[in-house]
Formats: sequence, C-alpha cells, structure tokens
Amino acid sequence: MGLLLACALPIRARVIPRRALECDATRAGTRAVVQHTQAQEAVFAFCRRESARVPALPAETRRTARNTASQLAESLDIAYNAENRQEYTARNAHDHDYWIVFDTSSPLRRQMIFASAFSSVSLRYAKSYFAPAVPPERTESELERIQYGIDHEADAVEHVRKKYDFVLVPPDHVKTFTRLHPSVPRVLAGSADAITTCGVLLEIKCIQTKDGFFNKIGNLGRKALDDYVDQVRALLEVYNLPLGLLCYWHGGSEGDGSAFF
Amino acid sequence: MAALSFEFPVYRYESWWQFVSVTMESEACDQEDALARHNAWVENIMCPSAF
Repeated sequence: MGLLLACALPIRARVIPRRALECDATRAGTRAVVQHTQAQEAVFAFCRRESARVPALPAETRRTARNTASQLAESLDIAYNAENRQEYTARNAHDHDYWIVFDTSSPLRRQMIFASAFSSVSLRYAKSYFAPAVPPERTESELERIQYGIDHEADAVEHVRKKYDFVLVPPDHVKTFTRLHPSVPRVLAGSADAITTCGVLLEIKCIQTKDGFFNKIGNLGRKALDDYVDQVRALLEVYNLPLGLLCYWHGGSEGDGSAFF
Repeated sequence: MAALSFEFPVYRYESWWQFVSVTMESEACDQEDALARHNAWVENIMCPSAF
C-alpha cells in the first residue's frame, strides 16, 4: 500500500507487488487516503495468499507457547466441566499454582481492569483503565456495531481457523472464562476470543460494512493496529503467550461484487 | 462478496508491560473507589462462599 500511496497510475494499469504490501504492513506509513478500489485491490492481494502462515518464532518460544496452551486447555476443561462452575473457579482463583480463571458471569468481573480497557476506543469512553462506575451511553449505531461483533465472532474465528489451518483450544471453553494476570491478579484480567493449540492468541474485530473494512485496512495498513494493539498485548500478558493475531474480519454480503477470498 | 479477513501479528512486549503495570498501579492509588472495589474483590476471593 505504500507504493499505492505514492503512485498516481490508475489501479488497473499496475500490478501490486506482494512484497510492497507486506513491507508496508511492517512499518507505520504515512496516513493518507486511497480510493476504495485501490484499497480493495491491496487488501485482496494480501487476503488471497494461498497459505497464510503465522510469523516464525524461535523454536524455544514455540515450544513454550505450545506447552502454555496445553496447560490452559487442560485447566479450562476441568473448570468448564466442574459441577458448580462459579464456586469452583472462584475457589481456585487465589491458588497461584493453578491457572487462574473465573466464570464470565461472575460478579468478580466488575472488580477488574480488563485487557479491553487498553483499546483506544475504551479509553476514549472511560478515560481510565478502570471501568467507570456508570456505564457510558452509547449511540444506536455504536450498539449496532457491538452487536454485530457479538453475533459474528464465531464465524470470524472459524474463518481465521480455516485460513491458517489452526487447531483451537475449544472456543466455548475459552469464551466461558476470564483469566487473571498470574502475577498481578488484583488488577488485570482478560478474555481471549480464541487460542490455538500452538499458543497463538486471536483477537477478532468484526467490521460491519464493506467501506468500514477498506477504510480500516486498505487505507491505514499497519496503522489499523493503533486502536487495539495494546489490548492484544495486555491479553498476551494475561495468557502468558508470545504472539497474537489481531484479526479484522468482514462477513461480506450479497451484491458486494465478485471479489472474494 | 464472501467473508474475508486480514491479520496483523502482535508480539508480547515486556517493556510495554512494565510501563503499563506501573501506570495501572499509580492510577489505582489515585482512585479510592477503585481501591475499594479491589479490596472487595479480594474479600470475595478469600471467602468464595459469600457469593
């Protein structure tokens, strides 16, 4: 996209080198607006990669991440199948030898700072890492966007799973629990959208409209991370994992055109 | 158009966490209500039968 921004040739007359796109995705480029047609071409070129791969990590880091995911899956399985889930997970919450989790329906959630508080969107509302005593009022369109994300998160996770050929820790187990930071349990908590058995954390952002998607990815590239990168970093701390993927997903709709991934 | 997605890698960043954790602690010290909530949370944790 960096080349896209610098070049004034019409989009059809130009072949976009993949390397240029990847290069741009690794640095913070200048913020400029490109046409949607250009943004679409750039995004599609990236999305159509035949086999998506997660970035390579050192062998030792990969091994540790896999072990961590394995321990997490085991403890979540125990907690998920506990007869009295809330009581069981709360009872274990102060046991530092245990993976500290509690049910997402637990009132304990209200006492915590959540990884999501690190997104610039949340900070704009709360002006603080702590959740405000009174929840902020949201506009109808904001509520609609939030609901869209809730409704489609599972679809997005499945899409990314297939794209990367991931094997996931059971998503319903992951989504049921909140984890406390192992060394700062009084302060930070978080809930991952998904975790792979190889120890990659997935944070899903569902973008409701086609224009919204291309504005976010096509025009901003790496800068699209700005709003949520700290949230992912906080989740990585909470789950003790080395790598996360911030996944922007758009569900598409009929009549949007013939381009697809 | 079928669904599509775009993924950015984010790496754990120790320096970032050190900075943020200090900031959080500092903020907690400035907020009595936040500290009260945390204290209540600790009590709940230590007495799980309470809820």
